[in-house]
Amino acid sequence: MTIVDAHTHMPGQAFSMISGFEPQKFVEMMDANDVDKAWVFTLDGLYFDPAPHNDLLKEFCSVDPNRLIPFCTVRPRYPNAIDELHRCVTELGMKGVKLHPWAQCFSPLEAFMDELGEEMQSLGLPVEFHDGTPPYSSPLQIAHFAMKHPKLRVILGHAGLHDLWKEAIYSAERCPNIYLIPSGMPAHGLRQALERLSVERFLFGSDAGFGDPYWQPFQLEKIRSLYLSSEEEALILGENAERILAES
Amino acid sequence: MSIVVDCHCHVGIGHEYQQMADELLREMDRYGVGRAVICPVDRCIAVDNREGNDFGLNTARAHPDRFYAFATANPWYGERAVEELRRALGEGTRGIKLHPSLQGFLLCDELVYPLVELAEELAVPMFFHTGTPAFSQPMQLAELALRFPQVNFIMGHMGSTDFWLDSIPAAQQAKNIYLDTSWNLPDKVTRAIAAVGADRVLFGTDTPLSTLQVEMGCRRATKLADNVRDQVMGGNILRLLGEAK
Repeated sequence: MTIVDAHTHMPGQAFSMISGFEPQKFVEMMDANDVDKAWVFTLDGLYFDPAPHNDLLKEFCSVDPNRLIPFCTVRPRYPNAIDELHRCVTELGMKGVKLHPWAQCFSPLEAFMDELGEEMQSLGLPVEFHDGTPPYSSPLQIAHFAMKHPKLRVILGHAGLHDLWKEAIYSAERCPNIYLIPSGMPAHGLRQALERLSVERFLFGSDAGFGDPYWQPFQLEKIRSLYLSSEEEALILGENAERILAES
Repeated sequence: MSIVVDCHCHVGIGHEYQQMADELLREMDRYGVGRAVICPVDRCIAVDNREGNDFGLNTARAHPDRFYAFATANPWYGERAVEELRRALGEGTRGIKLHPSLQGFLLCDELVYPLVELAEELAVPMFFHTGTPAFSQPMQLAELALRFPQVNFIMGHMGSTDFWLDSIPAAQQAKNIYLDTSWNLPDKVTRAIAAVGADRVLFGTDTPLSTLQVEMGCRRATKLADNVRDQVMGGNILRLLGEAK
């Protein structure tokens, strides 16, 4: 079984609790948890100008490019957002996009999101949103954006967190192009979500690199504690993520 | 190791979740949890307070060596809320659980004062859900706790998820705040212990929303000295309940 952690961050200086984590240590953490691949996002680049941090992320992932898959970020409000998106794809080979509305000071409903959504869709890039925290990151706000771009794969990085996990379920039911990473969704909510949505809609993700090194085992344990069939577990832990990138 | 006591569980049949005593006891035995504080389920926290309180009381009476029941009442019921809590506490519940988001009030609103005054009169701890904007924030608990310095307040899941930055400063403001570890990974728990002391951090699981498997895994991964572990994993909540030897 291939395990893909579809929500990790290159440890940063701005907000990470494990600053100075070298790429090799990141890979060792993955090995310790039997995680084969990771979609890696910047952390500092969410708080500062994204461009230099997209470069740093590319360098970080080049330590083991088969296992560390970089996702770029752009500041949707910046006039150069589309240019930076193109640069990340053509020059840096980024495979997807990470957006964090409240950290990056935008709402998914703002007008400039239309063009960015169209560009990401035409480039075939999946986009992963931070979600679960009002005012700018509620699942249904992101769902409204997802509805405008039906071929864009929109991933909710926390599936609503503790307070809005039901909203995440409603969003995914409403929008077939929404996928859920149940990091932050309680085990109980995940169980309910799995009853209502096809198992193809779930990805494993941990937020590793942002904080506690225990994130990965914690989130793996949550999925394993549901005692799903091995086929279902394999889909959530890796196959769905692999399929999304292969189809992009 | 001394006895493990979970400061935060729910028992009953709710709207979102349900858990009966036998299921919880089976999990507790499996993961080495000796006793647990049991609170009513969502629906009974919101409106059917008496039903939830009686369910907890009966569950605790059936397993007196395993459970401590906490009672709830929606403060919007006013004097009736105080009466219901006085009844339930008189009959054997051991503390008060409130959930401002579910019960629809600002955590530190005057509306809740009569309930806090009752907790002070009867010397029982008050457990507040926290972490949900806009009504259940750690700083609102600090404001309430500063106003009632004689009452012990437990901050449910330490502001998790997105008010984790607030939880320690809130507890540093008000020394009568205690922090529940449920949902919190090892790093946050060790930081909390370093910041407010091992005597103010309480092991909790919030099952059945979370699971004992996940929460005990987290606590096993939290590196603590033996004496600290004993306090956090059970000693502190027993002291708040007046059960410490």
